[in-house]
Amino acid sequence: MFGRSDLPLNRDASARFLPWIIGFMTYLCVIAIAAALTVDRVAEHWRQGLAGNLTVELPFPAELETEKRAEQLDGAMALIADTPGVTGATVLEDQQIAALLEPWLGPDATQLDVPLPTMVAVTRRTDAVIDLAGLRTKLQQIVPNAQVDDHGDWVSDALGFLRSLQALAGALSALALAAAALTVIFVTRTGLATHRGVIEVVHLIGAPDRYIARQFQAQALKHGILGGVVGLGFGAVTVLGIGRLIAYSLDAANPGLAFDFRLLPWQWVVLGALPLVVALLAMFTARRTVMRSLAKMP
Amino acid sequence: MILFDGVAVQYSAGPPILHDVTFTLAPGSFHFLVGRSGAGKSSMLKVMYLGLRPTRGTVSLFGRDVASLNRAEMPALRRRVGVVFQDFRLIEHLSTFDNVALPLRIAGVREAEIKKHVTELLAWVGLKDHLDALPPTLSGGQQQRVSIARAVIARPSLLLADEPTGNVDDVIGLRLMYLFEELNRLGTTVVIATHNDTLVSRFSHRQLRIEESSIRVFDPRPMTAYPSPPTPATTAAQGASPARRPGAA
Repeated sequence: MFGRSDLPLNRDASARFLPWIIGFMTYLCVIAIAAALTVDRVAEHWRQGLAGNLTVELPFPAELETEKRAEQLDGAMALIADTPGVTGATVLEDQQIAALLEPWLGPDATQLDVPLPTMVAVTRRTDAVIDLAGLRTKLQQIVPNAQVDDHGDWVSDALGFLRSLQALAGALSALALAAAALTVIFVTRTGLATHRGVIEVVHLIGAPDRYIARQFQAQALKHGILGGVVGLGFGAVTVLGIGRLIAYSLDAANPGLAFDFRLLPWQWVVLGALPLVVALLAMFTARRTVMRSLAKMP
Repeated sequence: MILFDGVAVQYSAGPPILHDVTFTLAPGSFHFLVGRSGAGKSSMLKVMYLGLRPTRGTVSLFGRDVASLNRAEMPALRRRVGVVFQDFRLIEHLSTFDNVALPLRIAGVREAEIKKHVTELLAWVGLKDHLDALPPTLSGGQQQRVSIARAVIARPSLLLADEPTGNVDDVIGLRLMYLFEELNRLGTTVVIATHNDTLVSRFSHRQLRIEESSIRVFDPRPMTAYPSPPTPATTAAQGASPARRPGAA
């Protein structure tokens, strides 16, 4: 496939930088696609983490007597426990609430002069459908202003944001591939113009268009593979580095939110296929460019 | 083999190079294409090797009207035509061997056969010591011989040569002419464009003379020299005057 060529395409100045441009575009693709794959994992992680949970807020007035407060809490807990689909309910301790609020209000969150509601973490079967509005109404009959939150709005907003990031990464990849294809078109057209004399001779000797196109596409495939492999190499190093850096930073700042940003084996396989995709794109782009140009020759 | 019927060639808005050219060339014939410099010999050869479409008229090659050919059909037709270009048009980055091997490679011939035939032919034209030489390192005469070898290596049905002996000495020129005659004896139709009157007079082949943008066929041999009675298709090429289209002045 990369054998003898009648056209001295490898000597073209315009072709010399093609592997580098393809390499750079592949590098951008690797980063963008790795980001999209990581975002996908994060979204799944969040979805699974919150799918089986509810949070109930019981805002007891500060002036409420302790006995009355305990009575209302017991009533609320009994109501929650009796709700079909609920598998457990736990009243969060002050320390647990402080840990949840710490990222926003600092380590002394519970010491602040701010009334904090009693929080109940509720677990449920993931396949259970709970009437949240009905539960809220019943709870408010026991504790006025009680709230039930299944995190649906938050999860929906967060997933929407992550999907936007994925779409952005996809668009960047498409742009990088389009830029690579445009470069191949430019280089191929330059090659056609540079070697017009030779192409005319080869044509007049009886070479069909595909014979000439084969030489350009072999060159583009070679440059595509070379640039693709180099781009993948640098991209992989960058992805590994960024993944470790983010994981380290998050772990240091907030161990509770730590998440494994390393790509899964199948995701590496996806990235590993990129040089082939880029090389084939370059090859078919070159072929199409040559065939279209030669069709205008007599 | 070749039929021109009312063919005209004109570049842009310039004067017509060829005007109302009508003739036929029989398969296996040998013709000199003569005329003063700039008379239109090269343009006529260009039309013959499908490098130029005529402005008007009909050209038929190997029984096919070239105007009706689509692009996909042209390469196969071109492979049946060997061309010796006036300016050689060798591919400069390819060796002598690879230049001559090109038509065979395009035709898909096996490398072992290519090596055998190309080496043999290059030895015949006196270039066996220059197989790996690049064209720019060869003299004009050597380049011309490489060009001729490339044109004949695939045993074309039609050989078109534009001033093929213009850059070689008389001995080599004669040797090349014998090569063309040998190919002609093997069935190749040969058309040689030249303004070398000495060369033309030395060989008694028919002549296509371009005069005043039109063509006149001249046969220096006596009529009895014809091997067989002329057929309608070859009348013009074998007669002393070009074929007249019905209604032509």
